[in-house]
Amino acid sequence: MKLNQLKKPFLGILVLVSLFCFNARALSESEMYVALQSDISGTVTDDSGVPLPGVTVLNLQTNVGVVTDFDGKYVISASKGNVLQFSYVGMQSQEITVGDISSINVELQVSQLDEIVVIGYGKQKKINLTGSVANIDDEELTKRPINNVANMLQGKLTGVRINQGSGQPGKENTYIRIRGTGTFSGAGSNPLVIIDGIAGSLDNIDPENVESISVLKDAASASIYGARAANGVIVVTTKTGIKDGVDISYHGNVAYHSAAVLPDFVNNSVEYMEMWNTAHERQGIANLFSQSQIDSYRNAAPNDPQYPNFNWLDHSIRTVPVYRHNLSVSGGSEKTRFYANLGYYDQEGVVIGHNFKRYTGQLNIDTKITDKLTFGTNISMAIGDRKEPWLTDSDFLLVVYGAQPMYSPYLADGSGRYSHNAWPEFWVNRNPEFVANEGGNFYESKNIRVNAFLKYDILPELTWELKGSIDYTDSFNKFVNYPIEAYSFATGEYYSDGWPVFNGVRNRFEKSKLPTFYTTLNYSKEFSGGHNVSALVGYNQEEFHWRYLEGSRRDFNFPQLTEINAGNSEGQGLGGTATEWAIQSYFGRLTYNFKERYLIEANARYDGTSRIFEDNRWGFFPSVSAGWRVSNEAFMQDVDWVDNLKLRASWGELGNQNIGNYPYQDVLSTVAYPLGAGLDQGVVQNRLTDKTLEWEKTTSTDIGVDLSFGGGLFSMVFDWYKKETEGILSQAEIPASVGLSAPTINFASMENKGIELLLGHKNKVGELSYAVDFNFSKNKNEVTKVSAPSFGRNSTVEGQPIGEYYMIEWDGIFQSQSEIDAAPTHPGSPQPGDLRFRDANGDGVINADDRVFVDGAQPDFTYGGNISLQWRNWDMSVFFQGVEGQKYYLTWWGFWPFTQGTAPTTDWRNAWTPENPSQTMPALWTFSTYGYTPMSGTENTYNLKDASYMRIKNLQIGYNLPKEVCEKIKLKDARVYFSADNLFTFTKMKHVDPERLGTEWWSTRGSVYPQTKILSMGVKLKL
Amino acid sequence: MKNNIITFGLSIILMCSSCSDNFLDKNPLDEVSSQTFWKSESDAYIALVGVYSRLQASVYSVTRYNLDCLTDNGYNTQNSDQVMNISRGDILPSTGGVINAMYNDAYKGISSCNVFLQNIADLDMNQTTKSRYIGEVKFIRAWFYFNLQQFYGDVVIYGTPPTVEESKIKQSTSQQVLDFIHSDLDDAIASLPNEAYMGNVVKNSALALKAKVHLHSGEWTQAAALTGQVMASGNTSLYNDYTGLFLTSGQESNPDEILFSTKFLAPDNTHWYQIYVGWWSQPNPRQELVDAYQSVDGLSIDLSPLYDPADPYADRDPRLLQTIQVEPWFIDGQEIQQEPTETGYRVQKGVDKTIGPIGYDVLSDMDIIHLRYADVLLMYAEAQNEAVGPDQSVHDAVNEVRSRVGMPDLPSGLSKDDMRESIRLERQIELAFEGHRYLDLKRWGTIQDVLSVVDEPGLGVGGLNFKSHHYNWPFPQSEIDRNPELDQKTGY
Repeated sequence: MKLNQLKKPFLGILVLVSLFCFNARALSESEMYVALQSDISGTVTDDSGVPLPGVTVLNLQTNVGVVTDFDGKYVISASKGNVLQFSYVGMQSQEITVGDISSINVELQVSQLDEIVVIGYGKQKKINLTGSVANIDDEELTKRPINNVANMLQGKLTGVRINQGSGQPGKENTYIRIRGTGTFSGAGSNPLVIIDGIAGSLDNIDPENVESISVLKDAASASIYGARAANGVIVVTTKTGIKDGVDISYHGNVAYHSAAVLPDFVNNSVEYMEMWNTAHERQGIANLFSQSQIDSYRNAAPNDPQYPNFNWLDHSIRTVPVYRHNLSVSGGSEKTRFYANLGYYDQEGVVIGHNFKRYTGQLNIDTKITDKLTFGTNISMAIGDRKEPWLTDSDFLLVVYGAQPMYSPYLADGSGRYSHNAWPEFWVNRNPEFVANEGGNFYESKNIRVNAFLKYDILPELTWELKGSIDYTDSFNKFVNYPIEAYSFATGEYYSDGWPVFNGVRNRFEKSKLPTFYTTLNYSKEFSGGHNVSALVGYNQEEFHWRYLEGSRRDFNFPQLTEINAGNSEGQGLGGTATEWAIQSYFGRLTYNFKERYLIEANARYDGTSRIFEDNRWGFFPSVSAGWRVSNEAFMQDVDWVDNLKLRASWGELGNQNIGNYPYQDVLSTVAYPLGAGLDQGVVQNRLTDKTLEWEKTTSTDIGVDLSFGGGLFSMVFDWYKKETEGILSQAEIPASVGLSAPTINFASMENKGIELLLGHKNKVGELSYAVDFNFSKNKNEVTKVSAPSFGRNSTVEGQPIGEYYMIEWDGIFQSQSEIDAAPTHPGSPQPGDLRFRDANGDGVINADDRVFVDGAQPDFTYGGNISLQWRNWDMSVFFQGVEGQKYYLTWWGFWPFTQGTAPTTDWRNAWTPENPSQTMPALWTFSTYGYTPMSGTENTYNLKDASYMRIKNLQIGYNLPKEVCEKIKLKDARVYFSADNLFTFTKMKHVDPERLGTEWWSTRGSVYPQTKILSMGVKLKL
Repeated sequence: MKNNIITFGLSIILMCSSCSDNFLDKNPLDEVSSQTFWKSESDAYIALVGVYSRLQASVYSVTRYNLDCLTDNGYNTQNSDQVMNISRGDILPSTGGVINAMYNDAYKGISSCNVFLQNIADLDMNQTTKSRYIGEVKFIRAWFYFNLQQFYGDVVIYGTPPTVEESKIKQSTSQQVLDFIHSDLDDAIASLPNEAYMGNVVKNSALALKAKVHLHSGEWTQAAALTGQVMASGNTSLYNDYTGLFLTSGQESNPDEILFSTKFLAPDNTHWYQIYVGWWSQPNPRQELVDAYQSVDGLSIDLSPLYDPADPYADRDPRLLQTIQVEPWFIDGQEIQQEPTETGYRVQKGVDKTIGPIGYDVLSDMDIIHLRYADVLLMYAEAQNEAVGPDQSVHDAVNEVRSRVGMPDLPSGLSKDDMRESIRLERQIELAFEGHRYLDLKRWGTIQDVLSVVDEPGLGVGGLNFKSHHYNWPFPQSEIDRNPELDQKTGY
């Protein structure tokens, strides 16, 4: 295979695309041969004479096409007068009329200007966009062999912040924010996801099937989605079949997952016990462990199983293999194209007790019924099986953290009995081993999406499209929990029944369906004189229905039987309900450009939603935008080093309709009370409502510049934006004596302002081609109006960013009693070695009045970048991503020593002592159960940790088998690669991963499911 | 072809828009709209059930015991409902905990009562049933207002559901609140049947509550007369098993001692009493309470020859071990894990010790008793003693309570003052951890003296603090912020 000769494609994307295109081959002439035609042949090169493989050569009269081979050569049948079209992604197409000469050599000119981007209900040339749209295509996406589409977008796009919440298989809990957090109400800040034109979820797509993803960031691009677009829109398009022939592709990958970051705990039993006793002595509490208990470990023979130094983290968080297989067939003829894919993914969790399997299928077909009428369908299915322990997420990890080194999972006597704690007198949370092994929480989920469309070209410039779709999801959850006998390790005596949280089996079946129907009429015409007009009108309706049914039984005589019928029916439980919402919309778009020089666009959507009272349920969401392509001006014609210079601006309004399903309705809540012989159903009125309640509205302004010059050598996209969200749902302020909860009203507001910068550079030096790009996003959030400020650890206060930290400032460590005596009065009775706080109001007392705002709840900026290199058959890429200025408040398990027995990290070996007068590391203390006021009695900045990081998110080295070798083994293409995720991280944060979520209620705990480091090998074959 | 396709497409669009009239009308599928409700007698019953369900608010049911942790009876290690702070005198408008919950949950209940009374007025239904329902709901409204009056003194009265604007009114005086309560209870007494209590409140419930309201106002004659009516009703008596009275197993036989309670029913309507009390050891009974139990000879431990400090729980009033767990809990020789206790004691009353160990899977559904016949007897004794003196009927009433557990009669010939002390002790013992002690100590005016000598864990004697303005709790701060007409209580 030859080196990719491409030069100057846009933003590095096409280097990757070209990998894909190498696979092409000329179809054999016999397939193509048509009588009365002669063979035309030639070579296609780029403007520097380098042959271009994979160029599509199409005879526009016969509609027959071929692609150039690896030497850029082609042979096609054509008769005189036929027009041959030579097209290649990133190059300007050329059309040549066949004359008398049978050899036609073509030189294609690079063009990043023809790149097409998917937008709402259509496509547009990227250069003609006036809104802010970030896009990414499949090669760039699937390069990182991970299993979750959302995670693949991380660090790739400006203005899009993605944070994987957890490394838990099938429950990555990925956090997506487009241009900041738009609201602080329950309406949420998640973007709308559109898959093949229909609302959906990123969790249900196999990344292998993704053709492209566009992110609509500003009002101009997103307002066509109206009342649901306030948080931005992610538009996903799945793959279609190739035009000619059949490609069969296989992608297999085996990966080794391990925890990216784990705390470094003291694991020596004697040291652990002595440290705890030390902390107790200092705090004036009686020793926890007796000298004889400590000595029994100190004097034990090494490796005596009765006296272990057990490392629970090592035992419970391991390296595990993860497998992935994808087989796809893509093919087509003149009229019909199809793409089919079957995927299998099998992930064992790095934490014991977790696993995930997923099966995916995709079938996309489109066919021309007549010249003007096209029918198509997209069918996809995802089936997931997931298991987690009956204590989930952080609640399981804290059990792992809290387990002590003095005992191992099973009693040392070999009886196979579970341990619970070391000695019966010391309370310990549960043994992670029995929590992971016995019972569990099992999920089986299914998603099926079927859509079908008809596209009819009424006139060459007028197309009518009709699409119907059904999205069906169901999920079955089985929760199994039963008593487990557990014993004290030292004495072998019974200690607990494992403390089940629910005794028995609980099944929950949920399902939802979303039928969608939309139709559009699209007009596009180029008038003489360079006037280009296009218009779109459409109608869309969606109706969502969700229900669940839950049943449980508590009394199981045979715990190994975990189906409901195996349990005793006495005391069985049952529950279920359903909810619905619907939305109906009319939308339109009008664009006009003059010679692709002056661009104007207007979008609008008129939405009606069931969530709002009928008098005001219809809302209008307009946007306007304009662009000026300076580079197309006559006066720029001589400045030929500038490829593209465009200024653009947009303004518009968007809505967020996730305000609850029935927020305005006066309903009576169902309650129960055993008034008669059994349980009676009753109703009560619980809340007041506001009939004028409506969506939260976001007004968005965007100004941007696109620039590329030097024939693609350098490129830049810059955006400034401002988003103001108004009418954020709030609780009205009413006296509690009304006895009803306050109505939800539109009240609060907030603002996001920011800039985004994308820089790209690509070049070729000898046989080495390389591309570098870098993206930078900065967003500033400010709460501008709230009904009642909330001053907590994460505050909601006017003039501050949402969630801004509000706490006492830590300013050192007390070194002596005289220093304490001279200092303002601190809470509790601090000793030398405890935290010293700043008396912000100078009243001589440290209390809640000394709290100040501290930044860090929102990052200062985020960034990412790619470096890709290609040399002969080798390619390599490095992708990094970072967050600056984010801080997390971290306490309890992993941070406060001995929280439920959690060992201190090894840092505490350097704890403050009179001989080691540190100003940063306090004296060893114990949080134990009741806390220690000088350390844990206040919320203060000692616990606020800088989580800024720069992470080599992915590194990949690939080798493509030479063409000759491929041919010998009858392959079109073969590639092997090695890939590593989360390999290196540069951060000040210790013991926990800086990439974590700060949004869950338990997120101040150090104990969370770890992010994973992934080393993987894969092979991609095409035949 | 072209026309066919267009016709086909247009007809689909028309089809969709023609069926779209109601497309956007989506109503909750498991909650009834308030517009379509209140049409029939069965709706009235459903609404009545709703009113009763308000009694299940935590401070009006399962955590009622926490009120005893404001007194010399108990200590709450975990400071749940803020009771540890409150008992130590940290009472501020922003304290929250029980100070907010008692207020908010009372008004939630009152709101439901008011909505009920407003809607049932014009409902076409059986008049007898209607008047009985109205009586029940007025009783419940009186119960909530009584709690408000007892803990906060002056509060806002609403007789009908207020709008948000109408809600912002001045508080009424404590006396006006009492008048309102009596008026509701008089209506209830007039319309409720004289029968045994099974869950729906009955005439005896209302008589007993009205007696209690009078008793708490020092109106002895009325209290004695009303309790006398209950005693003569023939529909209530002491249950023979003091332990079982507070357990599901005992309550299954519907002891007619109970006159008013919050009911529960497993598996779908349960509370966490076993978990809070049996497992987490939330209320830690104080040594002061333990020492208050007499020996079986009817003498206090200071005087009784039967008392052996080395074996302090032997030969004591049987209610001691039926109320307080003094030793670790064993089942079949295995110790059952419970959270630690600061005082060395845990509460036994209401904890079913046959079902250990207690985990999250244990469902508690015993009824939480608010009024029972033993309380009525002791109220009668107290009122009669104050109004008339320690006559035989006073002795009989107290002795009836004592003899149920095998305790000897009070010595005869007690002076009025001695009788008063005996009755007060009897109330402390008989009703421990049922939420009466705090209000009793307040109305006797002894609370400051009693609390000042309690040995508070971690703080010692003097650790508890009851200031004169604590007789009324403050309005929660948010209430002052939202209702500008309210005047905060003196001292806050």
